[in-house]
Amino acid sequence: MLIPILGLLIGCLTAFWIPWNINPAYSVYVAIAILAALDSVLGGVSANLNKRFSMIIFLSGFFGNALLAAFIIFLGEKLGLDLYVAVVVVFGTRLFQNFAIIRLHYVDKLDKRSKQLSIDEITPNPEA
Amino acid sequence: MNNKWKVQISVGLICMILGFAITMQFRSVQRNNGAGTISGLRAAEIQSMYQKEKEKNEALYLDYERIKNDLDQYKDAINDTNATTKLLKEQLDNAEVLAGMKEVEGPGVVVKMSDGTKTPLPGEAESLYWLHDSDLLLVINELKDAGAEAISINGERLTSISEVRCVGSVLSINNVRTGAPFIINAIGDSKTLESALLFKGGVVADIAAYCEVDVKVSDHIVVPAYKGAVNFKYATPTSVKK
Repeated sequence: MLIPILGLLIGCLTAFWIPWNINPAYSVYVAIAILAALDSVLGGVSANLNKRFSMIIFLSGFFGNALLAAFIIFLGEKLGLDLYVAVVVVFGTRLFQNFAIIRLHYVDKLDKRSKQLSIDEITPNPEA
Repeated sequence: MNNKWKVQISVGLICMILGFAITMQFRSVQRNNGAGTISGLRAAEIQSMYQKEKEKNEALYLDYERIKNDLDQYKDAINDTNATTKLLKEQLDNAEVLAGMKEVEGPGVVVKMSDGTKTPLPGEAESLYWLHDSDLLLVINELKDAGAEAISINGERLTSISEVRCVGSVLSINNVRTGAPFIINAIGDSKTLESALLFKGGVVADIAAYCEVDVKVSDHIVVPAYKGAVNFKYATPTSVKK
């Protein structure tokens, strides 16, 4: 948990420290990079919770998805089509799906614990 | 390296990219909003920009009025002196009319031009039915040929260096943007001006095939003075060598 937060901080600080800005024409690409990164992080966490995490799949997924997304946007610009909507929709859907997996995992855990607690409460302590 | 560390480091790496991208984007979006790039702005923002420009414009106009008043006072001061200065003043007045620095009135014609209302025939370009700078220039040229002494379009006086040029869907005259309908006031011999425009196969007949043109003769037309500032940066009078 510590290293991801550290990474986030390092990223923010470097961006603050860097003097130049993004050209507005390319800001849609950066927005897609943000979405791809968010998607990868949530995907990685949910895979880890299911004990299916693989570093190669994780990293290749991030870079591959980001490159494909950038290519789709580029193609959309050349064709005069708003293809970036497709990228946003796919990443958005995956974000919610992965978040749901993470959420359910913790809800299940909590549920089991509360059931355990209630069983403890109901079962009379033989020693009492 | 066990799996737990792999997770931490790879997720950490992507988190670093995420933080970097988010911060860059935030900064750029904030800065670009102030810089006034039109492309990403919404109508409301453009409207407020327009309002600001309009206010600036009005302030400049007030400045212009003030300076013009000063100038008039100087001229009045000259008025009550001897014959030489009187002659000079006469020349100055003539030059000012010629240069478009004075409001003038007299007989002439009013030409009203606007885009065509007919629907294009199949295979015809829609732009064929729009007024272009070339149409106005043809009319103006014809008026000048017929001896027009002062011409204005939508209240903008045409001077010797005035431009009439399409800027997107509007027209720029004296660097002021103005849209259709275009009302051209021209002072001169009204009969000559009218017939110069309306003769068969003439300019107006050509333009009226696609657009709306209306020519009216009037006994009293006012052509306003040029409202901009004149400062020549490059042209200086050559000294006469004897």
